[in-house]
Amino acid sequence: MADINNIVLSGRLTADPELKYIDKGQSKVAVCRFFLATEDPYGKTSFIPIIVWRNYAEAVANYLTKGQEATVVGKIQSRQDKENNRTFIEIYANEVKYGPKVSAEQA
Amino acid sequence: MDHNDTFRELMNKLRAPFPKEVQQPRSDGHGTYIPIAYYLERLNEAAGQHWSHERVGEPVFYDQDRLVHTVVKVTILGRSHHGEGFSKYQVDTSGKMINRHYAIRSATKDAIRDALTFFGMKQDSLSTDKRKEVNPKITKVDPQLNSERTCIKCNKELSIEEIENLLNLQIKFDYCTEHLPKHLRKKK
Repeated sequence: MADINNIVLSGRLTADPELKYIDKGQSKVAVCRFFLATEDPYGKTSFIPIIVWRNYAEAVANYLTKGQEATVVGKIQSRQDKENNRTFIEIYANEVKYGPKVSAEQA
Repeated sequence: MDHNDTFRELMNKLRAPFPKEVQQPRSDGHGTYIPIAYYLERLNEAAGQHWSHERVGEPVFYDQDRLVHTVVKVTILGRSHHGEGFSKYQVDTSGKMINRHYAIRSATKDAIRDALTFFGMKQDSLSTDKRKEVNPKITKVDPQLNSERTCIKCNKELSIEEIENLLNLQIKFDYCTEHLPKHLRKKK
């Protein structure tokens, strides 16, 4: 039986999402990456890297903006950078719910 | 038909009002403009081999305003007018110009458009009623400021029409028509 790996996060985007296309065989696949600032009950803020793939990445990158609230449902995943031998922990989002955008006055 | 009649007939074709679809409202909300591509299309259709253009002198760069200025001579059936064109150029962090040839090309096109106004081929020939029919929701792109935007997927340089389409669809990232994701195209 597979282990449990579910995560739900809410917070605000620290910057506009980045969108890039990476080569996968003959085609290019969209990858969207952004950071979500989430605050715990003690006031400590964590900056969590979020990854979204494929068509959903294109939509998320287009509609989310810096400062906007968002709720992310996904799984936590580790990735090894072989060149630097570093491990990255990231959230791979399955669902992203868009929250209110930051107003011009707040920005 | 003598040369004057031919010229008059050609001018009538060139000065005919443009269809309202080709007009683009300016981003500053003041008036409309017609992209150079439509001028060239009409010129090629109506005048064909009987028109030509040449740049007069070398482009002049105004560093303070980051503008390039060109003068172009447009000749239609042996009659010529000069036009002046301007385009903004971009510099990198060290102050080095990064889009020199695009800026010159853009200024040259602007100069052609300017020269054509002396032949009477301009937007003012549009009737007032037709101007009112312009869709105010359509967003205009300043061609001089968007001369080097490329598709995020294939790096192809975007045309003015493609950039305007992205703006009208409110798509943040640059896609050419071929790679514009279907799910980002809104139904009209």
